[in-house]
Amino acid sequence: MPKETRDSTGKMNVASDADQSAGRPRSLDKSVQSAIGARLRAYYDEVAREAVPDRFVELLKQLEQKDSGGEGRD
Amino acid sequence: MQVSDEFRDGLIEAIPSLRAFAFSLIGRSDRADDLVQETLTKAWANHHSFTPGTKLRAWLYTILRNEFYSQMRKKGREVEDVDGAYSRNLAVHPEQHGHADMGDMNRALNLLPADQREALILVAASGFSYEEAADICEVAVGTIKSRVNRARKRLAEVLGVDGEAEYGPDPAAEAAIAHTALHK
Repeated sequence: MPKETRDSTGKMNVASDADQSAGRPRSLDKSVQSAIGARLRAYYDEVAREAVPDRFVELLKQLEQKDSGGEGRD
Repeated sequence: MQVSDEFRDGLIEAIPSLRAFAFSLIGRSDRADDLVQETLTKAWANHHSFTPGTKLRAWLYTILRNEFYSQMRKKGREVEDVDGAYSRNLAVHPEQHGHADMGDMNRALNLLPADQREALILVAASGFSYEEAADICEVAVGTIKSRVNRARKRLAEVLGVDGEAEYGPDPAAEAAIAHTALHK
């Protein structure tokens, strides 16, 4: 079974894949899988590593204010 | 009911990876951030339906994904046309993130059907197990495995990754190969 290991930014250490198990002769070569995995994570992490835009800090503030300010329902 | 500090902190912590997930689904960062904003708003409003002790991150990804597809439907498009939207976005804003390789990966992901793309991203980039990805996408684990497998094969073809790349070619050469594969 693939073992999930990740940190808060969504990075993951790819463990061996279930696809590699018997009965799946057409699975990709393991080195291909890890090369693709590495490129995908690089792509993904490039966005995940960006500074969080201010709009989200503002949003959280607004949501908290709305919460403490009573029954703001929409 | 007040939102707990723990829940709020969990949301804040998840923002970077939610942005990455949204971006890889949509291929465009302004729309991706709108989607993250809607996800956080929805999560906040529905915090009481989150079961403490379960994985907040998986719960948030589920909301984001559902929101993404529901928006697509609201706009009067079939879910399949997610791919069309993705292409249009790419045409307008290629390589927004400045890294040359990002554009190639964007284009490669764009060639995948939406269901394969999300399965691959959840498992190979977001770090979810097949079981968690299956829960998020509301399909069987076997379905996720086969989608991921097909998506990997297609990406390997498109990006020109082959079995000899034991430790991966150097990034520049790899990018050049991908470029050739995409534009021939």
